[in-house]
Amino acid sequence: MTRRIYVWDLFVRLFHWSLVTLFVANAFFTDPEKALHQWLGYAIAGLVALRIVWGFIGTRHARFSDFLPTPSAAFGQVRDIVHARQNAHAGHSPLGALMIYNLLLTIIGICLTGYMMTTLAYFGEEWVEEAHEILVTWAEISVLLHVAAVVIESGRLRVNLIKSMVVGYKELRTESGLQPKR
Amino acid sequence: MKTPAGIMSALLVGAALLASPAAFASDDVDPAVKAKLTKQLKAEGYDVRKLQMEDGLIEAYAVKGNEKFELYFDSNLKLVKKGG
Repeated sequence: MTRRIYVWDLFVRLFHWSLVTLFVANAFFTDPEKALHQWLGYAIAGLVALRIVWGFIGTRHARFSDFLPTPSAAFGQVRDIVHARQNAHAGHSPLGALMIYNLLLTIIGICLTGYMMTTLAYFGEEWVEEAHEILVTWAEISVLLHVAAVVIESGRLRVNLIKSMVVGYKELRTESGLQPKR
Repeated sequence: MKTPAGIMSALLVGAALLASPAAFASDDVDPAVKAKLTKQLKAEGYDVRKLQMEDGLIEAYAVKGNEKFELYFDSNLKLVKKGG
């Protein structure tokens, strides 16, 4: 038996896939020396700002209060994985939450260093450019980990997580002993 | 999920590509040329922030007054392009 619950609201989904598109565009396709790269960077900054606001006033699973990064919950999830327990979370899982905070902070750092390079004070400063590039590489590694985790958890928990970020609903299994967490 | 093994392989290849040094291009300017061009620009009132090779030209990131400049020089240190 599965229970269909609405988890990701429209803004969260639009934000997620817009960020994916803009990040890929700026990381791989736009010329960093040209204006388009900067405009897309500002667009990303604006999107992240909106997401942060939404994290305080949005729907249940969009709020930061729904997925605060507590170490105990994260360790609990690791124990579940190690002991092959399938406790699917309705919203962000604890480890998923950590990844989201990591990605948000990294992207904020990328936008900040990018903006700094347009200022008179930091224009041409080597360390700002290097920080920008290191953060981008870290973001790319994080994204690969994030996608790998989503794929693995989808298989392990038998929940199509990618689909849920498209349609908003998760189909959580409700067999006895496999109650969805929250 | 369809072929998670296939997706995992693709991700591992992606990670390996990212780790490759090709991610950071080496575009150092010859030290003697660097010193000469910096001196030349300083004499013109520029604060030289950075010099690097770009498409066969020497690109200078410089500040003068309240303006930012990206100046491109050929091997004879002649200005051939301004902009960015």
